[in-house]
Amino acid sequence: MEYGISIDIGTSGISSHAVDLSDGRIISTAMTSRNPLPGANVMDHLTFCIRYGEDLAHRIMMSAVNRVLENLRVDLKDVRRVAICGNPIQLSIFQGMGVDDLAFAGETAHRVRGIKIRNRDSAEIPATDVGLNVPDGTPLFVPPAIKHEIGADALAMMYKSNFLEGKGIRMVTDYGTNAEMALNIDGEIYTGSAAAGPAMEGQSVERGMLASPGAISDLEYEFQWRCMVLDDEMIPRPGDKIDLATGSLIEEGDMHGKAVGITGTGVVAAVAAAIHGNMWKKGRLTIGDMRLQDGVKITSNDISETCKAIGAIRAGHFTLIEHAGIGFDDMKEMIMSGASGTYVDAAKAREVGMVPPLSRNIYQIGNTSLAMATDIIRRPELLDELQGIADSIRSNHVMFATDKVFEEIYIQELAYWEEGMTLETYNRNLSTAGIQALPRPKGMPNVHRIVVRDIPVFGDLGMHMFEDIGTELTAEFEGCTLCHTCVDECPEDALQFRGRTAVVRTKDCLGTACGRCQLKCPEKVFKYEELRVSDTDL
Amino acid sequence: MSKTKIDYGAILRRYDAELENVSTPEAIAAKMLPSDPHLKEVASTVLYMKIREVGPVVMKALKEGVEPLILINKGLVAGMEIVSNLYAQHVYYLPEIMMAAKTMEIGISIAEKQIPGGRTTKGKVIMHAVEGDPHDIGKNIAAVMMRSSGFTVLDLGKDVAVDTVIATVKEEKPFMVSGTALMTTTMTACAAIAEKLKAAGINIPVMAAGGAVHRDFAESFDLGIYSEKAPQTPPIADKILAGYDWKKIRENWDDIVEGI
Amino acid sequence: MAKRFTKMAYSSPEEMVFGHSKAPISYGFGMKVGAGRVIPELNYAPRPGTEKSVDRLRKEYVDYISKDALDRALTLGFPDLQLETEWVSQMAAPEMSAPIVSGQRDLVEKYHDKYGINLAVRHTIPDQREAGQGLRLGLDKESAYPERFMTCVDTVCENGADVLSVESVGGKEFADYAVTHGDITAFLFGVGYLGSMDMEYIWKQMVSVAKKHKVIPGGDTNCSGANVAMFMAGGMMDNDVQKTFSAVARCISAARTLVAPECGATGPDKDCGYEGVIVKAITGLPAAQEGKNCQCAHADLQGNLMAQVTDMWSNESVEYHPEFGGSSIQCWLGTLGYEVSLMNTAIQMGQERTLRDLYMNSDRTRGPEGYVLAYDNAWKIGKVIAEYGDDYYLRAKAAGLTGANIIMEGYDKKELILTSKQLLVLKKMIKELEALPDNEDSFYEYCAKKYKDEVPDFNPKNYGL
Ligand code: B12
Ligand code: SF4
Ligand code: SF4
Repeated sequence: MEYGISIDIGTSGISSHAVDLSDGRIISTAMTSRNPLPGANVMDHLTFCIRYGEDLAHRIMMSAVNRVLENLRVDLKDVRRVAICGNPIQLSIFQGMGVDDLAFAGETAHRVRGIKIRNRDSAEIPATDVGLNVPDGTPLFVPPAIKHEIGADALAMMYKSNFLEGKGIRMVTDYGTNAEMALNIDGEIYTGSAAAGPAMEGQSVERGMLASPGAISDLEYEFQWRCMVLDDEMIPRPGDKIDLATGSLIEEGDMHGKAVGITGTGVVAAVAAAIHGNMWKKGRLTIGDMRLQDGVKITSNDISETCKAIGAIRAGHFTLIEHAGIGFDDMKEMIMSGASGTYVDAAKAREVGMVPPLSRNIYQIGNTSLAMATDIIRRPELLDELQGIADSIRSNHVMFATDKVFEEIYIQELAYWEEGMTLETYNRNLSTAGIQALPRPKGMPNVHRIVVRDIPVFGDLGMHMFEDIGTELTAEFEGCTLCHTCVDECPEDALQFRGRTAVVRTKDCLGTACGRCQLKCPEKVFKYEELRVSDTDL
Repeated sequence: MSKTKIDYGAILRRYDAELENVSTPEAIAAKMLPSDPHLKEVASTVLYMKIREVGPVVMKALKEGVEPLILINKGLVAGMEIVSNLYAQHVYYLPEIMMAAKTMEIGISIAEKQIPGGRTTKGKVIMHAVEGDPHDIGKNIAAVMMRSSGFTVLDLGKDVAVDTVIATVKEEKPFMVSGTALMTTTMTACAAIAEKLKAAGINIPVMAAGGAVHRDFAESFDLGIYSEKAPQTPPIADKILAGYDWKKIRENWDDIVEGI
Repeated sequence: MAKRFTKMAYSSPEEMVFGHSKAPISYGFGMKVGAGRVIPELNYAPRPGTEKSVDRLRKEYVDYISKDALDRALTLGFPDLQLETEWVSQMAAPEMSAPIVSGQRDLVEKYHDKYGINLAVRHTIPDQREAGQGLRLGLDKESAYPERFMTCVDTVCENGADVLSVESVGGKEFADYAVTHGDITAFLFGVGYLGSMDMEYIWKQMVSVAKKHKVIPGGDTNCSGANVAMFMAGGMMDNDVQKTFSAVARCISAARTLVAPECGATGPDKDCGYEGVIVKAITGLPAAQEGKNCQCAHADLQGNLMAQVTDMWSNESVEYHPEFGGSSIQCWLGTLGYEVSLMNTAIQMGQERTLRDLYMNSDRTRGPEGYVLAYDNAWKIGKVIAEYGDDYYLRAKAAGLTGANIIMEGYDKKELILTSKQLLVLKKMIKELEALPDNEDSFYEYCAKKYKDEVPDFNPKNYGL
């Protein structure tokens, strides 16, 4: 049998299919739930590249990807094609192409550093060139980016939904850290990226976690709120029912005692509950912490972080709608992609503002990057078609960073969420600026969950999920007293000592966004940049 | 009778008394607006964010003999003080403070031209979003707060090269420079600025701020000081003017920003 | 099948007291019901003629009535207020009601934000269904009242109400007959049995819509049965309906009104369901009640007593018009709020049980209906309902019989005075109830035959039979 392999590299994990080339069927699936590079978001990954070298990042990445391929459980000698998709940062690291043009936003920084914007058009290159363990001569297909920070993943979300089809007005958004979004008006396409941040993935939230057993993934309204907790099969099951206003337990559920944290979708539900209960006032929860079950709680700060993200998404949608010259009442069809976009309760997402308020139909379509890469495997000539689409979209890109409308709206968002400004004032201010009013959500949207999981088909051989992808960074620090302050301070248990050697597991480490180990070292001898990849790994 | 345990709040509310503590623009204005009719009109344009009217109103006042400096300080700035007051009391919100500041600035730029030798303020600061960073909303907010507190702000914009900052500092001689960074890739620019200033023998505090920056980072290099929220900037700046150097600001940081 | 209550939430009557329920509920703008504080609920009716146009009616409800009420609540310093809009029939048209629901919501939000007063709005929809035309979806080809009923539910839930309620009329064809003919078996069949089934049918749907839109499903009342009996028995010399009859009818109605919580209603239930005392004893859910401060609407004989275990205290309804002290609704809000204030002061001073007993004893023997609703007796009636909880018929019968026996014992003890006519009717009812079959099927057969000609509007399809 001859195989093709499709790969999606995401900020929080890698997934891959093996495909039977004779009939295009998916044979098997392999996944990791962590990105091998230190850090929780693309900027951390970029910082890592800049500080410790793009080459090192590339090698860590490829070692992880090759482990993923092994977990597909097919004979890699029979692989004939590979296709990849993902955001431009991960793709560049994967290809071993520089990322400096992505790491620094702004022309000044580019000029000062002599950075050139790299070409991220579609490409066909030998897979062995990037270090994949597949037979010599196997081609690797790389889909094009739309614009330098709107990557192939954004193209995937448009291509793999009904977004581009026919006439009408619809919007699509990938609910990841970068929130790529696009609006289609009878074929005229407007794009933007609202860098919402990782709150929607449960990060920068005190008790936040990725979806895994014990995570509160939703709150269901049963006239009070019922925590839904993921069980060992990752199925949300009823936990405790809580009166959020008083924090009292009303009724224990099956999953009582089993909650350990909360996912991004859970946090969105918490925001919806806080808004519904009128408990979010002047940027604070009127009830103190929102107590859920088993001691898991949401703080005002958590909501505030999430609201900054929601605000950025809403401001982004709003800005596109303004630039396109349509009204909110024209925007009735919304497509949500990405894991968060698939698992979040779409009605709640609309209530809190992540989806335009008058959307009537909402489609949740899953991980489109992997799906598009798989399509390329089946039909390599698709690559040219995709390049054509990408080229045609380039014209209407709205740079939110320099956009006055975005800034005007985002300031309203900040005041609305953080200071408790009313929607009335929000709209009055916008009207002064000549911007249409933001309506309240009305009625109930029809939610179409097109897929049950973000990856709908696993194939006959099923799915292998594995954790152990990380590489280790090690160093001995001169003057270290082995006081272990750094170990105790590490929030992720990513750091330990082997004898005098400090060892950091990269997949767990938060990287530059954290740096607690270094900052807290009483002897000031911990130097993160002195850490080296241990030879055994690579 | 056991009276001690009664929680009267569970029985009744004194909305009348509570209302006394709630401010409306009108009520505060009545207390704080200047009494001179010209100045009152000027201050009101700022208070009510009449961005289109401020020009004509200022021009009329100047023509009718109001001293430009008095017009600025007792009219425009006085109006802005009321706005800050309302903001602190949650009557006005961020967008309003931004609009009012814009109104004030238009007025100042008109009046300023008529002051021989230009206007003197509390002092001059340079603000910017650092090299490689496009996130300037927080900086814009902080700049407004500084201007409203009577400082001159030289806003260099976003994605400003470290060398541009150094060159401008040398030329303009501010008493403080601030850099805003929201990306972990860019925040190191603050340290670079501090290093170059120090090498040039300019020991003014370098305030590092913005989402990516935390206090530990801001204080990890010489000259570096931290500010968490925009409203904290004016009190810190006041202390610098009062003679605090970066070390003393760090030592007293918690006290300076307490409650803000 | 809906859940059934077979155990008592309160293990003894002594446990029950106003302002506290076993399952407090929070919603709206800071509203916490049954959580240690009684809340006034103001109900009002628009002036005749205002229902002629959408705009006029919205103005009447929002700009006049609601605003008046909120302003007065601030003036008098009431910490909480729930508004209840009992829809006039014209509001069954969504274009008429939607602006009122959303208008009241916006107003309430504004006042809450500005003054911090805790507020919520309950909307009680009209049940216009006619047994003769059909009670269930698809049956009423003439007026489509069941469909219109569900449209009302949607309108309430989609436009920002906090609480959804109804005064449903299932079994009314028998209740009307029963009251006018003094026929307790007909009442048991119509209200206790058929009414329960109809409630199960509508409340399951109401709860599911409410849940989808995050609205609190409050509860129901047997206004159309037990209250009709109460009013007709009300006058001192009215002898058409005896007060013992209305008291026993009330006990039976409790078994029916319980179906709302069994389908998921959470309380606060409907103010005019005097049977709510019994329902609260069984379910522990917050109860809205009315009595002395609803004299604008009812002259009942247990005005103080009804406050004994209430969580939300209502004035039932008053038409909007001027009085010397302000508008009528402002005046009645004043009396409501002060009564509630007294109750809450009692709670603060640890005197709530004393006040409860003062209320209760002031009306305990004023009439048989108050007597069965006194919390100790109400609890006993609740207990037999729970004992037979799984069977709509048996539990309603047990409720009626137990209520009747309690009255008899009170009379025998010389605690409760009865006129000879009242006593006669009571004895007849006890005999009649005791003689009824001991299972649902035989009872149905018996009634279907017995009332075939008397109640021509009866259609088994209305109840899924
Ligand atoms: C709004 C936003 C944007 C807007 C920015 C618009 C603008 N003109 O500023 C847009 C959408 C354009 C944007 C773009 C990007 N963004 Co962005 N963005 C955000 C977001 C959602 C909020 C930032 C913000 O404005 N906060 C509100 C302001 C008021 O806060 P602040 O700046 O911190 O300011 C406060 C204080 O810090 C202080 N302060 C600030 N300056 C000063 C100065 C002084 C003197 C003082 C005293 C105080 C002070 O006072 C302020 C108020 O109290 C954050 C996520 C988040 N949750 O924070 C991501 C975030 C900052 N963005 C991020 C990224 C990566 C980007 C992009 C690079 C994404 C990409 N790959 O394309 C792009 C930029 C590329 C480009 N060329 O466009 C990342 C940074 C990650 C990291 N760890 O480094 C974040 C954290 C989100 C994420 N993905 O994780 N973004
Ligand atoms: S403390 Fe150090 S090792 Fe631990 S997560 Fe933070 S940066 Fe990584
Ligand atoms: S904190 Fe510093 S001194 Fe202590 S163990 Fe870690 S590196 Fe060594």
